[in-house]
Amino acid sequence: MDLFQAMQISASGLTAQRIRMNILASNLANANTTKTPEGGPFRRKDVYFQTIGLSELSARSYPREAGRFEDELDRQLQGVQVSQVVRDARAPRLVYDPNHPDANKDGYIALPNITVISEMVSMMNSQRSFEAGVTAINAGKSMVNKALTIGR
Amino acid sequence: MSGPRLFSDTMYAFERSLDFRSMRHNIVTTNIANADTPGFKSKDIRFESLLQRALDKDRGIALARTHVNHIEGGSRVDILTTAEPDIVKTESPIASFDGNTVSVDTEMHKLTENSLLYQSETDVLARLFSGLRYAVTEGGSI
Repeated sequence: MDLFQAMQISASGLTAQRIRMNILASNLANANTTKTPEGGPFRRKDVYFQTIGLSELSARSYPREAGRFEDELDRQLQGVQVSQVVRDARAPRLVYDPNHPDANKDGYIALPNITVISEMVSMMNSQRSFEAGVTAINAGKSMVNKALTIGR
Repeated sequence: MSGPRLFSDTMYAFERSLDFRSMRHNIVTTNIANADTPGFKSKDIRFESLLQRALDKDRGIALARTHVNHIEGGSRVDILTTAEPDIVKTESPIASFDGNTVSVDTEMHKLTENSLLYQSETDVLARLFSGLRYAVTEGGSI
């Protein structure tokens, strides 16, 4: 039981939010991309989170003894990780633009189905979660520093 | 009631309280890290009443057992050093559609409160020790 576990947990949260932020930035940047290496317009991607146990989070193993409170608590402490990045299956948006090089024979181009506003909202959400994680790390740091003053 | 000792029950109470606060910090941090994880249930530990019961031990208030690991009796110090709190799932008033029950503002409030109380308890404990040091060094004459 130590405060550094809390920092590891927060750090896992920061990593997960950073990955999410990267994916969101990629969605925003490609909101009008009509051509991709795999063909067709860009498809927006979604990030999914899942919990991760402490022993997977750090190289340390946490042995379990039935009924010991500390073990039960360690089992409840969970970081977060990105479980999967999924491509959005929604159909692309068709816009009439016959002069566009990627236009089909009817003059329509397929644009990614990305709503800039909803991506921005997700991004703000992610940013706030990141900031909360940073605050938690700082709170832990000041607690450790304060504990060091006990014997002084 | 045991006689006067160098390290008072208060010190043990503070020690245990600091222990619990660092556990609580870990739990709250878990909640904050998982604020966006679908299906995650927010958790917390409650220990204030446990410490209070331990400190009330010799005031004729019985110690309730709410967990198999809770001991039944013993001296205050025994209770203070061995009693274990409960891990509870906290309910959020606002149900999220993905089953997550973390409310970031509640968690930030708990984090700040817990951290400030940890720091002030550390401060009081340090003062208790510096009082002892003052006595041991005969008023700082050594």
